[in-house]
Amino acid sequence: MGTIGRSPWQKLDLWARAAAPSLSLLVLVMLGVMPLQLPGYGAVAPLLPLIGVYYWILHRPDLITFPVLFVVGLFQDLLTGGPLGVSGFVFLTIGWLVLSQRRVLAGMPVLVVWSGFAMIAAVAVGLEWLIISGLYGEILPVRPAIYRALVTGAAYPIVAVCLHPVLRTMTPPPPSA
Amino acid sequence: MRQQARSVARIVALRAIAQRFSLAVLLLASVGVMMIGKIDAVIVENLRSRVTDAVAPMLDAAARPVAAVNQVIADARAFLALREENARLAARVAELQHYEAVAHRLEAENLNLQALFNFHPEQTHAFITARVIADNSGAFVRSLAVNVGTRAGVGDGMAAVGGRGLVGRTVQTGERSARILLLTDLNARIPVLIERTRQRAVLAGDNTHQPSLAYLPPDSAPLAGDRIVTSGHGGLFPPGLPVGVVASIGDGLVRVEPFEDLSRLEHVRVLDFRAHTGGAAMRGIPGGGP
Repeated sequence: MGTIGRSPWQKLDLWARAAAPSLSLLVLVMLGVMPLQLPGYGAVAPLLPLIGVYYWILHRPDLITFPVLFVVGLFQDLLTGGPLGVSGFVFLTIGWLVLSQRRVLAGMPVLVVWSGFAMIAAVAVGLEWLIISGLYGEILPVRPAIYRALVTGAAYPIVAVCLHPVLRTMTPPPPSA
Repeated sequence: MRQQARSVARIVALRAIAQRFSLAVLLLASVGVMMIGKIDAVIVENLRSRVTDAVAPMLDAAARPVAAVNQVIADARAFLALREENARLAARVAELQHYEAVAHRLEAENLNLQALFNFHPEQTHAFITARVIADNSGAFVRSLAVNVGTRAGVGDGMAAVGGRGLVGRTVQTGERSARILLLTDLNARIPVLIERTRQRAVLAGDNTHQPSLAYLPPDSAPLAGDRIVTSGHGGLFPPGLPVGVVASIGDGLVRVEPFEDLSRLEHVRVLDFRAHTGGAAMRGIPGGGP
């Protein structure tokens, strides 16, 4: 299937649709640092891009590549001021994990997909905690990490509902995917 | 036909190998980046301020409606509590009138004594008011991004204060944005004084909402409720900025509750203190002069 015979606008449209998942991850990173001015929110702020990573790999693994996860992770670390490279490592690991479990989760009822994500969130935040503790050379408080995992897990449906319209506007995946 | 199927299978297998290879390479690259950040923080900080700078206009625009909604909610709440607030304030005014008299007397006495000892008071500092455009406080980092940078005269290491007390200090400054490391962050160390006893200590953040006092002299006996202010040692911060009060003492750990509610900051003031101290430490800061 080639793009011969398509107008530039059609090409742009196709390109935009293919890039939408990656762009949505960048938007989630920025939403994650919005100053909401809620007391105590900062300590438990959910890892919003992780939801996007899970959602897109589950629904359109052909549109999210490992380099994209790496770049989104770098962007997250640069913006939040966390140690550089940690989020990239976490997103790549989670991306690989979800990709390997995709067959099990695809087409399951929403609640199963959600609880799958809750487990993934626990793994991701645990990994993050472990790496940052190692980098700083001291054991970080565990409680904020637990809250972060819980809040991230709980935020899944909200983000998924926002990503759903994006998924619906997309062209269907190639048959091999 | 069979040949075609075989070549398709081969392509699929190759793609799977390439994917696994790219995963391994990128995981290694992540570890490499972590090591670079650990060894050469300057490169990373530079990159950080550039990226924050680039997205600052977007974050700024997005932060405005949130701030507006918060303002409306706060206004509505304040309106409902008007009567109680009024009664409380009237009582407070009566109480403060007494202190006003005391303050006048002390100020006069202080001026007299300063004249007597030929004491040179410190120059006042300029400040730059900034809007908080990103709250980066996650479970592992406590920092904010604000919408002023070197163009407005902000530099690294300046004190950031809210309406009630110290918030943190600027750590990386881009052209249009700066990052403020909150005093609760794991890496924050601020030289402070216990106001009552004048004993020096270092306020050390540990990512909880109450930082603790480190390097307290062994004979010190802080009490709950003691005010903690900056000591001015190290020359980064002006002395006497209110920081917080001693909240709890236990397990050899003295915890301090910051005066400022760090989770709901909308604006902060960045104090340009060093520009006025002169001497070798003076740095040329554009627009920072009096």
